[in-house]
Amino acid sequence: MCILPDDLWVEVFSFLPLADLCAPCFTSITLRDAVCHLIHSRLLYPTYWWRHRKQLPIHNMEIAEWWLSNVREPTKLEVLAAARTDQVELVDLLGWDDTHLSARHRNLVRPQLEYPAWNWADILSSRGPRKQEDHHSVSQEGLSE
Amino acid sequence: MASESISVTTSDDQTIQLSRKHAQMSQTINSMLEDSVGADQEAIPLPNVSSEVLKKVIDWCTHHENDPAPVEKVKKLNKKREYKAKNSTISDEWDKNFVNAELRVIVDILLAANYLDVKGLFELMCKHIANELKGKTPDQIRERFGIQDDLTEEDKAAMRKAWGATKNDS
Repeated sequence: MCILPDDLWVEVFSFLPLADLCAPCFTSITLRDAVCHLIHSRLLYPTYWWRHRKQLPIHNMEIAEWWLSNVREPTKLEVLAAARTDQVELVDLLGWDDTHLSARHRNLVRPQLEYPAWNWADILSSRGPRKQEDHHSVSQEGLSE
Repeated sequence: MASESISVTTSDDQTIQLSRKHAQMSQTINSMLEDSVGADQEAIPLPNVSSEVLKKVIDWCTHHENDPAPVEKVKKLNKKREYKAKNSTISDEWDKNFVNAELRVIVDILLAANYLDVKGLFELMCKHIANELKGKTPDQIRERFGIQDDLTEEDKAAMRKAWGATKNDS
């Protein structure tokens, strides 16, 4: 038996970014319904979000491997999010460009403005300024040695 | 003059004294106190809260007794008119230690905070559970929270489609 009453899940989910609502949707009817209720009650344009803005979670390899196997192939949004958090191994998993994706996936997502084609230069440039500074200082140290 | 302490009776028939300040951090007890002004001061029954959990609630109230009263914020959309989740960061070190407990205890405190309407404590417990969910797969969530998989294959296919499946099986 679930140890949390049904009506409290929406309150808990309100502390999660939208990408983190994906896995609960595949957990049980109660959690799926709580997620849908939250999305439809809090988003101004939920239909638009479902169609164009949804993003999958990139916290760790395990969750990414789960949705790669069970939901769909990655989009540029997810790769950029992984790069911003400096998860190189995860970017390796999702891909440094979109040439490995199925033609069907590319055709479906590329025409949308949010999901254009991606390449390694895009991914590297998406990393935060601090990360770039870190790498700059590392390379400077390397040069002075 | 109002008494400085309030008696409450818990679900396990324990009578516990609360300071008026702590009692007023609970909207539920506060309303009961307002309703009983001038009446004989009997212990307030709290049939949904055990003494063990109430002591935890009092611990939290003691640590936060000088916090400013929570303000009901109207959720505003940002400049891009996009939804932004509530901040789930637990910044107070004492709070971090407080939530370092078994899930059963966390849920009991969450339920008590909900029943007693102690907003800050309720939010803290929700944040902690939300943070527990992050990065977990459906199987891991089910195992952690004792949830049964009652979704049919059709339900899952519909969800895959909703989350953008582009594979042929969806």
